[in-house]
Amino acid sequence: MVLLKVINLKKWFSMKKGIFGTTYYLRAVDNVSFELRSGEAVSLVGESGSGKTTLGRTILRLIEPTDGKIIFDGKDITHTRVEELKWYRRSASLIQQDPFGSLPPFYTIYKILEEPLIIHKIKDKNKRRELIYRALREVRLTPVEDFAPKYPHMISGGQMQRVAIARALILRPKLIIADEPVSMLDASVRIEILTLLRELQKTRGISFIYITHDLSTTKYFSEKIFIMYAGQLVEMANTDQLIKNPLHPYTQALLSAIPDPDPENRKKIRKVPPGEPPSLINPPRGCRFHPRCPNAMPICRREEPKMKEVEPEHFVKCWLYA
Amino acid sequence: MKKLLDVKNLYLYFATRKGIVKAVDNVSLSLNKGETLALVGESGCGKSSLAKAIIRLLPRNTHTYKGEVYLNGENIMEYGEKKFRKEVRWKKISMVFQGALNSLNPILKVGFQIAEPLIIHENMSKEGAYKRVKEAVKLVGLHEAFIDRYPFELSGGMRQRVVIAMALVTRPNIVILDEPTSALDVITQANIMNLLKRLKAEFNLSYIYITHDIAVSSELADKVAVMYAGKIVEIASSEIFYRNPSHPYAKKLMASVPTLRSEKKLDFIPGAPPSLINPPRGCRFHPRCPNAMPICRREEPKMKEVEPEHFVKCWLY
Amino acid sequence: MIYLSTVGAEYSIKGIAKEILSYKSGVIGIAILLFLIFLSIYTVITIPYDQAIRMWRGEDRMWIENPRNAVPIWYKYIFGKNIPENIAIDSRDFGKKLGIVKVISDIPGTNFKKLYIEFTFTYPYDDFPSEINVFFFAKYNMNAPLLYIYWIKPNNRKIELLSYIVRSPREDILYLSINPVIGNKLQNYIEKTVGEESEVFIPVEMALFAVEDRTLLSSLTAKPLNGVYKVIIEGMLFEKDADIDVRLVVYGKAWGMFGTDDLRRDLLIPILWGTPVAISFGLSASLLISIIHLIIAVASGWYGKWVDSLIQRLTEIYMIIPFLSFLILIATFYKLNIVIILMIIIVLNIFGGGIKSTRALVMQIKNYPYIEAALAYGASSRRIIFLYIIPKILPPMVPGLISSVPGFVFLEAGLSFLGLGDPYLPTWGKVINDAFTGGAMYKGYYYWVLEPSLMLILTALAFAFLGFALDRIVNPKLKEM
Repeated sequence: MVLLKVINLKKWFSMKKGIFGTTYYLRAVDNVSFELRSGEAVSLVGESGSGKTTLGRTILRLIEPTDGKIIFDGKDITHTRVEELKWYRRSASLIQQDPFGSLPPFYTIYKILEEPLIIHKIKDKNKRRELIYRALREVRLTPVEDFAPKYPHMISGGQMQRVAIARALILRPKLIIADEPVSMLDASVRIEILTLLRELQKTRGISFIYITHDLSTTKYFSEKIFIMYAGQLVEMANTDQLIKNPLHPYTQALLSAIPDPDPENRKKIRKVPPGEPPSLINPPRGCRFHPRCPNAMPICRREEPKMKEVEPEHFVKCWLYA
Repeated sequence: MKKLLDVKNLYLYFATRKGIVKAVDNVSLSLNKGETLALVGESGCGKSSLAKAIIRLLPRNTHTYKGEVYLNGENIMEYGEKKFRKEVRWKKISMVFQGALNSLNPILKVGFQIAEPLIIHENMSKEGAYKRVKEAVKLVGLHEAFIDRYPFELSGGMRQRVVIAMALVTRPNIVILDEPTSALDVITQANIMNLLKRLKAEFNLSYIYITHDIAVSSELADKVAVMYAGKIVEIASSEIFYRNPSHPYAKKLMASVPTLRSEKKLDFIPGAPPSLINPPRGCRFHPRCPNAMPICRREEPKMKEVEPEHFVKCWLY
Repeated sequence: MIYLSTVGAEYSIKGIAKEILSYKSGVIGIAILLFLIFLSIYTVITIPYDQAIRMWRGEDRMWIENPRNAVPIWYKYIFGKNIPENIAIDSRDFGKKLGIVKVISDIPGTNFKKLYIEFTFTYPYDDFPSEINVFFFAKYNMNAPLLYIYWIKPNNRKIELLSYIVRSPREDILYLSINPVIGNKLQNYIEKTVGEESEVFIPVEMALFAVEDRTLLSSLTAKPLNGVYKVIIEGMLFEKDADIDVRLVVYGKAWGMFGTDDLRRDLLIPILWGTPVAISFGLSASLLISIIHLIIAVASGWYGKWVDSLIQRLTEIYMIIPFLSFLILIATFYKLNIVIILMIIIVLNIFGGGIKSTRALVMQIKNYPYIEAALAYGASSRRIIFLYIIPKILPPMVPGLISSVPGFVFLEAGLSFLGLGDPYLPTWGKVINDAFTGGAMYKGYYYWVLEPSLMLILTALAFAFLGFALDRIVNPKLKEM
């Protein structure tokens, strides 16, 4: 069952140079379409500046889309007013990158977890306590009576992120968007947190969008991977498929750029395309990857390719497969 | 082969309101010419402090700073500040700091910032300095014209190259790099690593590469030293370390690195790294160690050479 | 329990107090502040407001028994001189105290009575009295008593001062020291006794108490004659039920803890009362303005766009306004009391500069992840402002709040000093104003100026030190490692 449908979504930020100057558009999300099913976990992989964070925020309607449609659970929430979206805030929640920043430092963990409950009108104090303790148990912050009265600065980064996860789960949402949830944590803690997230996702059947730049963690976490480049999705496939058989040259570049811990690495020069991701204000014409693409053809410079299903459940946006 | 850098029993403690932070607690390691040593560990284990201890960039609240650091056979710990500044810092050993690409002076042109070490340390004339700057800039893969740009005009990857140029411009023997690519995207990171590999090969540079990302460290490392709670617990060649480390912590670290190409069951280390103010008694890793024995709780193990050039600090050996 | 937060650390009131006390400046600040607060409470309890105002207005000859411009009593210990204090003798104390004789005897065959009152006292001081007054409390219907007043010095010289008819029943005051008849009489007496003419007019109180030799001819060399003095009041009462009581007051030059002003008012009152006035004025001004700034800054920072632009421009205009000039202008044309002054100061400060820094903080916090998280789980703007933003910006405002209190205290004092403040309230500024118009610096009444000034300085110091310590606590960058 399709939970989330994103159709031709655009988010362009307008930036003006001076009072009378021309308006530039920062095309953070430029024509993104995909479907997400109930209980499905997807990794949205892209480098910084690819627009993945903006895409996540736009889906959550923390930002209003410039164009396109977002349909959640059958309801079109593209341009609904923020005041009327309270039900959505309950059904879709956010886990942020910075565990230190995402928890208000002047509230106890109990109060932090109580906030969403109060906002969504769970008036019974005992019910709230029940839900809070349950959430803490789910993220393995036990004994709960010890953790509940603590302040964020008294616990470690990994524990803080668990609190953030608990907060995201406490209202039993249908969709969680996790924006780089482990990139600020120590390497050894990352796996712990990701494993926990994966478990929770599976047992509760929550749809997940896991935004990250670290491809190597995706296979431990999601069934599908979406690769984002310069504001657009360039490849979508099942995780194993993508890693075994990357089709888009950018995906191939990404995969070849990521080292596994191997002592042989230092003896070789890695084959990677030069250059950097393009600016979102003035992206290249045609296919946005063409300036760096080893397989660039004349048509790549002229026209933007369309997303095509090259194999079952494997979509690519590249002229090589048109 | 004479060792280029030999660190013996180095200590660096800081005094804070909460107590004394034992950031570097009796660390010994060595580096040969043309060799890269990767210093890996979790955040807060003291690796950045170790780098600062070697290059003597000490904060105001330093409590203890002692030990021996032999550079080409001479103990630079005995140098006065003036001599150290003139002859060692940025002349023989330079450093690329964590987040350096964000700490370029935004109001100065990039070329000037690269030239600064030359003008300060070597009293070079402006023309002479800029000649070297252009060389350095080309070396790191940027066009000469970039020396007239301001940092905000450059992308992250370019700024990181600038910072590397700054570290290289005085032609040091050793470059300490502290998480040089953590703020960069994967492809740029690979490009920078390629650059570092080339420079190493061309100039026979020696690197001390500090990172918490074990996979990336394998791009450069000839030798790996693992740091935990202010102490080095294992030093081994990369062949040994990445394939089969000895220390339980090193083992767990390797097991927690996700790999793209191989199927691996991931492991994680329960608990959190200890505070450097009040580390556990005995072996500092014992509270989280799966192989902890009674003696681990009582006494700190000594560093033992279990194989040639393979040191482990663990009661198992 | 109020939990303030600073970069992740939380403090309870107890914790904050401990932190403050860990800094020397905090200890000093709190110590002085506690002293001032104790003083205020003590003052308000022992001298209630209405009473204080009444006393300060000096109704009903309240202060008549105080010497004018008297120095504080403790001058005696500091300067070592035996500065004269008041000596008062009252015939009503006849029988209860020594040194008083009062005899009224009938004159047989008439309704008249003879009156004899004798006062005996010792004068041990090193300086002359400032004034001598005689108070008459007479009871009669139509015919006032007739009195003769004699003065006997320790050298047993008896001088007839004057004959006097009481001017009014109930209370009548004879200002001995400025009485010209007595003055002339004494001048002649002295010139005769000493044998020389004096170039200047010798003041009555000096003549009555001085050593009678050539030293008396100049006020620089005159010395008081220590010893036993007698004052005799003889006279006639002309009615059957007539009676009279006499009170002699030889005014000293020292009085009370703080001395007196030119209207004889004990300076204890304004010095003490100035404390609660200054502190409450300073604190309320600071607090109210800070709260207003908070609201405006939050609105400006959170809602942004045109609201922000408008408020910013208003703030900038306000910052240019010459605030004190306006205040003086208003005060010159309108009669002000202290509450109105407070209101005006607040209005003139509404869009003050403090808004800019708070707004900057609000804009910074607006971008914190936990604000975004709150939006994500559905918090309304209002909830975010009150429960997430304000708790974070309150702590940094506190040092500013405390540190700006002295400014307002000085403002009020300054206004009073210029004569534009509340004329009826006993405040430190008013005392300084009185002192200057009373020529304190000319005449050497330094204590009159120094006492209120020192109180002002003390208050300013208290808040400055406290603000200093708080600033170190709240601002993590200033914290010592």
